Parts: sequence; structure tokens; C-alpha cells
Amino acid sequence: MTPTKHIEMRNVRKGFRFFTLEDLSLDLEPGQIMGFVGPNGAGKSTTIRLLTGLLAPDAGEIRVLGHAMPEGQAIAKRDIGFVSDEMRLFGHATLEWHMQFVASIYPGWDPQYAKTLVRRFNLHPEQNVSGLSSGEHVKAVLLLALARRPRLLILDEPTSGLDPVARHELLGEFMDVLRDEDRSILFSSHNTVDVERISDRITFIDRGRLVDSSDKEDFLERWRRIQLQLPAGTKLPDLPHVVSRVVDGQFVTLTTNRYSPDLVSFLGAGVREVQRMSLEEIFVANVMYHRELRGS
Amino acid sequence: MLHRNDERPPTRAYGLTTSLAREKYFSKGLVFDSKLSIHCIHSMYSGINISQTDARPMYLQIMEQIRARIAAGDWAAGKELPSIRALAAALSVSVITIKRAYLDLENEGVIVTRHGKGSFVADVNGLAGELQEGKLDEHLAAAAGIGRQLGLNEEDLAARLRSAIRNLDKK
Amino acid sequence: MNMLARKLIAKDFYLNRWLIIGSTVAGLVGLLIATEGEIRFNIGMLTWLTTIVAFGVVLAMNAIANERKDRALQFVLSLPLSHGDYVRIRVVGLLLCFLVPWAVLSVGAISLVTVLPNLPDGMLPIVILLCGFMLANYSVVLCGALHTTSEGVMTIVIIVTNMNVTLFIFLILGLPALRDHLHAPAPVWNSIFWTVLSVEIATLVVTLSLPYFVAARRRDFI
Repeated sequence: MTPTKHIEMRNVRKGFRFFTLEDLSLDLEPGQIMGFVGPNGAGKSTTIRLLTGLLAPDAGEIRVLGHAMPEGQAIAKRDIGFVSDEMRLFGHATLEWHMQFVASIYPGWDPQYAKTLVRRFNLHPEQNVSGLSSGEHVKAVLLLALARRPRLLILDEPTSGLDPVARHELLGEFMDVLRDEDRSILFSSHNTVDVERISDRITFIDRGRLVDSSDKEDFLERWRRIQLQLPAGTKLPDLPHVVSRVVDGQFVTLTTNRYSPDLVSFLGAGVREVQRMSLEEIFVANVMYHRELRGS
Repeated sequence: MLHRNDERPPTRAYGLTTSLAREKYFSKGLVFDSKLSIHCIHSMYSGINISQTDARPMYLQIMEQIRARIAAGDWAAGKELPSIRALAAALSVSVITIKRAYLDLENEGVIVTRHGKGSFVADVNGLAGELQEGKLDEHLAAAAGIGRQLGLNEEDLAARLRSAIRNLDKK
Repeated sequence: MNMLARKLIAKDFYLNRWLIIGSTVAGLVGLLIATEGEIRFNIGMLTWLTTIVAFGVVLAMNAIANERKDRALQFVLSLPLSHGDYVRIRVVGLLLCFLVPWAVLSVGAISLVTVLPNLPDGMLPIVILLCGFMLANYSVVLCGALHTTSEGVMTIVIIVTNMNVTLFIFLILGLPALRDHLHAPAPVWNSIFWTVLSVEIATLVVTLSLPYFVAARRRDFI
């Protein structure tokens, strides 16, 4: 298919009065799904708004589906489905009206798929949109985006406020989108379990800066917690790639972001256990480490 | 078990459902369904399950379940595996995890990937048996380890194995 | 783009349909009341005037400020259009939404004056200036709504434009050149009339083109 990356951000800078997004670079290939994770206020929504043309960068380059943003947004958005949990539809119109509205604008609208989604998401087309709960509203907006089959989906907290059943359905729909290797998804989420499960790539962001961006399996392989028991008073040398060290008497816990069996052999008999880390643990450890490095 | 009860709309070639006379906003490539029909895929991997609470990484769980099916003979030699994307969609697991599982299985010689054609169960005589034997060795190694922890000697351990075999025959 | 513009303007009409219909009816009722006797004339014309002005304010506020507050703005901006497109479509759409009742009620008022024998045709210039004023007033409100995100500023714009109505009437009725011919049997088109009309048209042009140059150029929308 097309060799162009779906998203390319290079050294993007965006400044506000109390917050600045600094030197952000990001890549998304077709056929991939990227999870975008960061604490509140890290800059996820700002990044997503930059990608969808709502904001213009102060410096740096943004290309989405090959179009420069925000200049090319009118054309780019024909193929982008953007949903944010803050988004709302026009009050006093029904879901059915919205479906017809969207269908008349986008040739890619699939009425059969839309019907299936209505059923899966447990929505009622005749219902007035103003009567929907916030979770149902998000589902409605997602339905309108998914049924158009856009090439790129950009989602800001799509599962927040959804019950587990709805989340399960939604994740299923996302993975269905990726059956097509010319389509891709970028989604931000606090739900690290979901991110860990379905993402191909994961990007961590904190306080306006990129912390790490890598393949998911890469993260899961590189990070380990090593539990040691050493005789009291043993001095551990400064080891490379040890991101944190917690000492509790004889018991030492090391966190490394570049695990290799050599490290374990080096540590020798003191090693009690080597534990894999969940994405959430990796995320927290990574952010803490970077904050230390930056002296925040 | 991640199994969908209602039909999934198959991915389809664009332009079939929309009037081609309309403004050509989008230039999309044609989208083809994966090599197997949706129904086929359902019957092939229903039952493969990724547990959230299992401490083992997802790719290992997938590998083990595929190996088990080959060992049991459910997935016969030469049988085509679901495409990576199709399996990923069906299990709601990232493509990269399935890729890794398939890659490692290929390195083990359990499956064979033909570029552009797909992945197939390796057509090696006795593969099922080999996998079963591999499983046996794993269990025996674990048993030996526990035996040592308990302080059993070789004879005690062997005796316990014999009694386990006898119990099996009784059932 | 054209299809999208049409759809969005149709959306504006659809979402504001009751407002449009209601104001048209209320204004027509006002005109009907104005047909007999001086007091009823005053009441009727006041109703007619207030209806149009109020409709304009509610329309602009509803459509723009609420869209922003309701976060439907993000949904609209996710559609395949640029910020400039959005502003242009809004201006056209909301102008058209206003023009429909305005046209009906203006034609209604003018017909009333020309057709009814008890209403002297000398009133025609003033009636026309009033119609023009209301259109110009609305476009000021619209322009304000498109350029500011602050509720405070919007409130000031609304208060000022409301005050304008009363001020304008006093002005018109205070100018001897216009008042003197009020009861004449035939309309008098003097230079004062043309001056006021030109000012109205100029206001219209400025306030409707400003968004194209200012709001449409904004790079950050939220």
C-alpha cells in the first residue's frame, strides 16, 4: 500500500502560558496501533489537537497522512476519524439524524456496519442525543467515526467512562480496523491494561516532553525488576541501565530498562527473583526516572 | 473466551457499497479479506485464550496454545494458520504480539512461513509427538526440581512416578 | 466542500427551525396588531421590532457560543474543513437563517404601510431604515459572536446592540428631516434617508467581511 507514514511529528513545540510541549517527535506507520500514555496534564490532548489541526505548532513539523498540519487539514480530515471524550454532538437532534448527516458527507460510510455498531454499542437511533449519558455519547461519536471506515483513527481517551462490556466491544472494533494493514490508530488512554494488550507501539509522555516511544514487546522485554538479597553492608557498584534502586536492609530491588541475562550473571548468587513488569509499572518507573534526570 | 456471536462485517472492497459517481474524495486501495473466510477463522482458533491474570507474557501464552493444538493433532501438519492480522483481531491482541509468537514458533520449527502465502503447521513427521515429548520433559524437569526441594532422592521420585502411572491405569 | 457547506447550513436551519418559525409568526402577529389605531400600531410595531432583534441575538448566541460550550465545536472541526471554511460557513449559514424571517417580516411591514390606507406612505423611508437597521444590528452581533470566546464580551455586545434599538428609534424620530415627512401621503427619499441607509449598508459589509479576514485566519481554535 502507501509507503507514507500516517503520522510524522518532528521536534514540535507548542507553548501556552503555564505549559509547553517541547521537542516532541512521533511516528505512526500504516497498519499500526499506538497507545499514547501520560499523566494528566502531560500534553496528550495538546498533541492530539496538534495532529487534528485544532492547534498550530510554534515550531517543528507535523504531517498526517502525508498532509502538513494544520494547513492541509481540510483534505486530511476526509480520511481521519477524530474522537475525543470531550466531544459532543448537536443537542436536539437524534442519533439517526447524525448518522444521515455523516453519511451524506463521507462516501466511505457503511450503513450495514453502522447498524451492527448500533446493536453492539447498545444505542437507539431514534433517541435524542441530548438524552444520552456521557458514556453513551462517546459511543455514539465513536460509531459515527468507525462506520466511515477512515484510514486513520485518532482517539483521545476513547474508553474513559465506558463500562467493561462497552470497552471490550470497542477494543474488538479497533482490532477489526487493523485487519486492514493500510489503516492505523492512535489512541490515548489511562487504561494501561488495554494499552498493553492491543498496542503495537507505545509512547510515553510527561510534562510536555517525550519520555519514550517504542514497540510494545520491546518495552516488555527490556524492563525488569530484580530482587536481590545481599549481606548487609554490601556495596553495589553503579550499574548501567539501572533506573532505580531501593534498599531495605538486606533486600535490594533494582529496576532496569535494558535487561540482559548478563546482568543477572553479574549480580550472581544474590539474585532472588527476576520479575517482568506490567506496562503500568514500566510507565511509572520510566516517568519517575525521567523526572529525576531532568531534575524536576 | 473471546468469541463473537454475531457476524462480523467482512472487510470489503471500497466502492461496492458507495455510488462511484459521487465525488471521489478518497483514494483508497482495495481492501481484501484475509485469506480465510471469517467463518473458517472462528472454527479454527475458538478457544485460544489470553489470560490477563497469567503472569506469562501474552506471546508465550499464544505459542503454548498453538503448540498444544498441534501436539494434540487438532491442527494437522500442513494446515494453514490464521493470518497474523486475522488472529490479532480475533483475540483482541496486538499484531506485534502475534508476529512475535509466529516468529518464535518458526524458529522452533513448529510452523513454517512462506513469504506472501502465509504460515503453516510444519509438515514434519512426528512433530506432534516431538511437541508432546517436549512438554513431558518440561514437566519432568519441574518434578525433579520440586523433588529436590522436598529432599527426595532418585528412588523416592521414581516410586512416586510409578504410583502415578498406576493411578492412571486405574481410572 | 460545497456538499459539506450545504449540509452544515441545512443543519443550522434544522436545529433552529422552531426559533425561525416562532419569530416569523410572532413578528407577523405584531404586524397584524399594528393595523388598527395608534396604540395598537405602537404595540404591534414594537412587537415586530423586538421579535426580530431578540431572534437575532438568540440565534447568534445559540449557534455559536453554545456550540462552543456544548463541545459540538470539536465535532464540527473534526469534519473535513479548515478553520477558514468553518467561519465562512457559519457566517453564510447564520446570515441565511436570519434573513428568512427578516425578509418575511420586512416585506410584511413594507406591504402593510403601502397597502393600508390608514398608514401614510410617508412612513415608508423610516420603515425601510428600521429593517436595514435590524439587519445591520444582527450582523454586529454575529461578528461579535464569531470573534470572541469570552462570555463577558458577548454580553456587552448584546447589551449594546439592544440599547442601539431604542437609540436608533429616538434618532430616527428625532431627525426633523425624517420625522416631518412621517405623515406625508407619499414617501420622501431625502439625503438623510440615503445617508442613514449607507451607514447601515457599510456596517453590514464591514461586520460580515471582518470574520473572513480575522476569525478565519486564526490558527488556534480551541
